[in-house]
Amino acid sequence: MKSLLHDLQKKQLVWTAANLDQHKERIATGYKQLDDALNGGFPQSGLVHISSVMGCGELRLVIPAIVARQQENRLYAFIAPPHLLNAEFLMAEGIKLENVLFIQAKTTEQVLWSAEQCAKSGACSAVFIWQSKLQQIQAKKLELAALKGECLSFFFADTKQQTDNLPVSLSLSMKRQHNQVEICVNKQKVGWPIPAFSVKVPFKARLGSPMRHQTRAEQSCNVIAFNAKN
Amino acid sequence: MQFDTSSLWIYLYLPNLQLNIQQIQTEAINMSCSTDNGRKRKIQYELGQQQGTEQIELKKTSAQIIYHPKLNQILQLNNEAQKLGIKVGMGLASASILCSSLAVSEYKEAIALQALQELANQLYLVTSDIVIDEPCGLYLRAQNMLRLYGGLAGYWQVICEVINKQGYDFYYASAFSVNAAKLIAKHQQKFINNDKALIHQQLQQCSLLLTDIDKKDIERLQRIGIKCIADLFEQPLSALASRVSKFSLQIMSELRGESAAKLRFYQPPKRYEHYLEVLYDIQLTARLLPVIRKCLDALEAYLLVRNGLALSLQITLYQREHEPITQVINSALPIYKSVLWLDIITLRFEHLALSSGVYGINLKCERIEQADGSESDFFNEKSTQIAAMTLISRLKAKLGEPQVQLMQYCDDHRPERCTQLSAQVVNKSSNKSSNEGFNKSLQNKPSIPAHFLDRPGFLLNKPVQLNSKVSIIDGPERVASGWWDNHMIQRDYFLAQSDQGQQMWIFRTRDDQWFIHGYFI
Repeated sequence: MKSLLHDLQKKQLVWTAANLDQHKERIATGYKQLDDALNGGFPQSGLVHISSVMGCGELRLVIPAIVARQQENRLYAFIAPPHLLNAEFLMAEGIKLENVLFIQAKTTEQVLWSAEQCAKSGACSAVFIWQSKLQQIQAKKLELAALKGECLSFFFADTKQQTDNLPVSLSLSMKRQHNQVEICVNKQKVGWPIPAFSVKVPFKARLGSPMRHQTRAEQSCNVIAFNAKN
Repeated sequence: MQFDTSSLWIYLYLPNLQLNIQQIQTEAINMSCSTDNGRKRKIQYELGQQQGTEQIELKKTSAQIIYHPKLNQILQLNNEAQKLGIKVGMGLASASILCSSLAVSEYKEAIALQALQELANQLYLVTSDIVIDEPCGLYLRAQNMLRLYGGLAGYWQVICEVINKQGYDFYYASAFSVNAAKLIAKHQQKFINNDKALIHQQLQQCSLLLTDIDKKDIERLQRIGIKCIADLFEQPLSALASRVSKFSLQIMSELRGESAAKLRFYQPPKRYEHYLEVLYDIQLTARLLPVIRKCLDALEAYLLVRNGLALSLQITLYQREHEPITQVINSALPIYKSVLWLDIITLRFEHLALSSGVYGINLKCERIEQADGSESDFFNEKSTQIAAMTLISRLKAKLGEPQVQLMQYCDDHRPERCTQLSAQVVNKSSNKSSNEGFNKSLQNKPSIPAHFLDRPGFLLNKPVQLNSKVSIIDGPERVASGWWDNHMIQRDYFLAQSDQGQQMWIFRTRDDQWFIHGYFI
């Protein structure tokens, strides 16, 4: 029995609290409850699996951490998103558009290849992919590539049809309840799975219509905003 | 350009260029097959069958000739053919009587010309003034290089090294006149000297027939008793002037060292182009890559000595039975290393389907970038910059150019218009200097947040009809714009949330129809 445990430890399949030091440096997510649950935030690098319905704030949850960690103009790679990315949104989140790489891959194979290349190149600080399902080996490849390139890869899955034994650094599932987001940590490398808890993922401002940003409206050079109600 | 008659010239005479090229190629085949042959031989040896080995040797040493069909003359032949008694200028019929197993190839001037150009290209690195003398010679102006190399011997050694690398048969001669050097070299001499008396002595022994003088004029000269160069030197030119054509007169005066030749010096091309004929047809791209690697190695050497980099290569694959395929391969970062290029090319060629065997590869590089010596800081963000450029090149090679895009923001109130995708990669460092103006004004702004903070992360390509029940969180926000360019919209946008927790951006048109336009991810 002891030798089995020893073997497993040798293969680094067993996590012990003693290893916690290695993961001391975490990236704060900007949400306190989430930081607490994740021992301080996202890992520095690795594959993060987030399963949620599309459009419940999954990207807004992770972007503050990604932007905060950006130091030397590394790229953000968005690989085959299901819809067009909105430049305005990215700018509002504080991402420089010149650092955004938008990759339209046709097949799953190409998506995964691109993700792997981006992650391990060291040129990307974050890679985002949208897939319904990943196989074990594919996830492992992406995880290793992310570790090699010191990159955080995010894998967004639409629903929770993915079984949770993927070799990822972190696996979350999200669900929106009114104006709160319920997050459940399914798996993390340094810690136990944590049952659902609530985090408030806000819009940046409650509403960004030109009426409420009178001063901003002047900046647009070719369009004058009229009041909608007249 | 015209020169005084006191500068020293060297003429390189390469009579067997096409034959040499063929021999080198067959040797290369043998080299590549040598492992195979070795194995075969071993087996044959073990079996005690020596016939096979003899056959191979026979194959190696068969008589080869280069034949010009229009002139019906043999122009070049190898030693084996010579031993059999075949001579230059023979017809094909008489040659084939002498030898039944003659390997005949047709004479193609283009092959020799290309080889000459390549040789000139190589020589250009060590000597300055080169003139290509079609179809089988090169003039080198040695005079102005003597000082650099500390004398003729040193200079000639350097030149020899370059030519020997090619493995062509060559003869050479030096003289103080272009035509004299050529004439001596054409006698298949190997003569390098800068002693005027010795050169003159050598020249005296030459025959008139090998000069460039018109055949008719030679006949005329012979009629008046001028049969060799020595005779020519005895008579003053004015005595011959009325008898021969102007062209021949010019050559004669040059031979005597009385006037200078007019020559056009070789200028190496600004762009790189190399054609390689493959030894056997290749249909698998995987097999093709080692050959391309060879081309790239040549390119690397070329770029390295010129301190140049390439941004884009054009590879043309000539197929035996189909149209040639041309592939333009771009790198986001200027590079010269063959390994890096091969990496990109391998990815690109993965999808390439060859319909028939490839017999030739042409590698072209239209523009050579100058490697910039003034790179900024050694440590500062350079590594990620290079990594990013390499990554983009790789992605573009594999997925195709238009699949990899950068985003730009366009100042417009219509949501579908503010995101612009551009395939062009803007080099950040060059951008600073070149694209000042509009782009710069945009790039300087990101410190100021974008106009609207509540915009969805995903925009639908085309708004879809709203079919499910949603609750509105906030709104409306009216966008009415575009009346000036015929894409007028007037919409009231709302933030809404569905029962599943999806937050979306919906709008109502003027005629009260509801659409989903985006998702807040």
